[in-house]
Amino acid sequence: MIDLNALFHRRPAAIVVIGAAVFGALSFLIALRPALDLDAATAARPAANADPAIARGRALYLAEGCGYCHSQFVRPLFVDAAYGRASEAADYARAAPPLLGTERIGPDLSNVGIRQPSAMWNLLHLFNPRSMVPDSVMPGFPWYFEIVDRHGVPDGVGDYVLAPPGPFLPAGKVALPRREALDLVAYLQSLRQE
Amino acid sequence: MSSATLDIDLASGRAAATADDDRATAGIVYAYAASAVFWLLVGSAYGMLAACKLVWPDLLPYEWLSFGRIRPIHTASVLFGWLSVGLTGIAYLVVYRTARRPLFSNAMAHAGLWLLNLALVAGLLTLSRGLTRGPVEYREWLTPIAAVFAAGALLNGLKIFVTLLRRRVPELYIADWFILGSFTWLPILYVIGYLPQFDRGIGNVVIQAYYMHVVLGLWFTPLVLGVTYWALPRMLRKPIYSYALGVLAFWANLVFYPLIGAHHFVFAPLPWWLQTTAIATGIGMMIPVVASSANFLLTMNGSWRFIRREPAVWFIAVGAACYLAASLQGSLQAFRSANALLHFTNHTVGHAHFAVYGFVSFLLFGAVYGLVPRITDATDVAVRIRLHFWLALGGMALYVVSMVVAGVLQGMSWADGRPFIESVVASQPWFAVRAAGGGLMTLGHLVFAWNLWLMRPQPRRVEARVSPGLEAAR
Repeated sequence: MIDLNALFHRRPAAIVVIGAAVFGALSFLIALRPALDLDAATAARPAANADPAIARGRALYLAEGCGYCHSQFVRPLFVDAAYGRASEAADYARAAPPLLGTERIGPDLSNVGIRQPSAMWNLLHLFNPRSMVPDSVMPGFPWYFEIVDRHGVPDGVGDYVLAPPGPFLPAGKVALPRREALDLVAYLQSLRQE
Repeated sequence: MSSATLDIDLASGRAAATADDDRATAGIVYAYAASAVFWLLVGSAYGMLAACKLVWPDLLPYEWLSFGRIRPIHTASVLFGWLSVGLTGIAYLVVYRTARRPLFSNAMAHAGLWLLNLALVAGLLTLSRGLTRGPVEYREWLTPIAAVFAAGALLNGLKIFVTLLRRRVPELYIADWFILGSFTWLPILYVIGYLPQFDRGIGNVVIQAYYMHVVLGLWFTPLVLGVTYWALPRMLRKPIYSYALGVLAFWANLVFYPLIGAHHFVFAPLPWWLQTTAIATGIGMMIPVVASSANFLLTMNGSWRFIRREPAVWFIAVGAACYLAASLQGSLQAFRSANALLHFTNHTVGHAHFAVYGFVSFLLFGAVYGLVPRITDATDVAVRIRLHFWLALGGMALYVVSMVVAGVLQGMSWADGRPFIESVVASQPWFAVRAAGGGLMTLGHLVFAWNLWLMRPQPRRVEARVSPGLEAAR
């Protein structure tokens, strides 16, 4: 019979080896195996839209840490009914990484492409959220816009010349979205959980 | 191994630590503590800015200071900078004292510190530029940066392991169990957390749930408990209340804590058994939590008159109480009924700070004040521990209460089916209270940094005003 008391009180290697073995076994049972099983059992939905702007927009969504305040995870609960149908494993099968999130300082965005389809609204909101939602605490992303003279807007800059009402731009100026802003909007508009 | 062999080892004359070893160890411990306080100040600055941005969203509208970028910088700085570096430094001191031998290879300790600091600086710069693995909490750093950090932690673990192998006493003290365990589990956790095949797909969520809670439960928790199992009896000059409770806590923590991570994704499209296991073992966590927190509080029992004059121990008393309270809060929040109302709200943010600040940071503050002056020979300097304590306690109370209230208001607003923005408006006054709490905490950290400067290694005994409390503790 091994004297366990002496083993752990006298042998640092016993703590390391047994500790690693127990932790490794539990990690396999609770994390590695369920993760592998779930990945294997989940068929990805066919990709709806392969527009590269959406992929670039998602990369910006990650870089700006949008997912810290916005979940993309609708629970099968009455509380979440406003966000559409409940999320399923297949919704995340392609996502790198999936963006379920753990906090809602802002609303869930799983379905925002349907809830808020206007590109102009989204651009104004990204430029300064207070221009669209006065009580919002979301950061603006002015670095994805170019501020130019109202009369100096060159031809062929695209469809969006932003002139938000209120104190968000100096007089006589307008904001033009850079490609990044348009990419972000393309990504947001692609979020549809139907 | 029989005790006879060890007695022979002792008789064979393994060198005991000398005054020179004391000085070398003081240098290492102080270098780690100084780096830790630097990262505490960095983390506080980023945390303050993030808190202020939720009150004044257009404050400092610069790319590299955007809320979504500074949030992971705040968490990485306080978790991997302040707590990991600080706890490693104090763990070295505990191992040095309990092994009664010089630390193995001082060069390894300095190399380890360089690696940790290199990873932290690289992490701060890359996250500022928006280079991240996504909002996957506490593993946002790009993989090479995490690898540098893990290498530093491995080096530190190896050094601690070899020092304990060469110890001069037969028994391995319970504090060393916890410390050895922490340094064993962190590298395994890092490998699993960064496995590339889980970069995409629903499996990533399972790994995320596991990682984000295990890093708290099998790195910070056992490391700070190990430090406290040594620091508290030392500061009170009496043995721990129950050694056996410490052993129970060690094994129960190892068995229950790895299983509770999925409580971050209750109602997610993950297997129901995974969620239920997480909720149930969350209740099981009360066994190690009560074992250690009660052990600390019962050790203090009977010494309250002494403790009243000893503000360093106040930190440990609050830390032990917060360990119990925050763990209970977390276990209850995981219940499906509570989770439906409180998940996604600021209640979680309050809980995170209650645990990481009230529990882990307070115990580390106490251990630094209780142990560092003795090895640096700075016991005669008058440090403002009381001021730091009241700022930290007041700040933490404002923080936790404001976030719990904001969380309940948010949850009720959503349950009522009101427009989302109403939950933001309801939170806003409490965001301001939280920022005020963070301000008090940050002021406390400035006092702490000044105190640590006063406790720097002394060439020889300084003639200064003697604080009666510290004098008594010597």
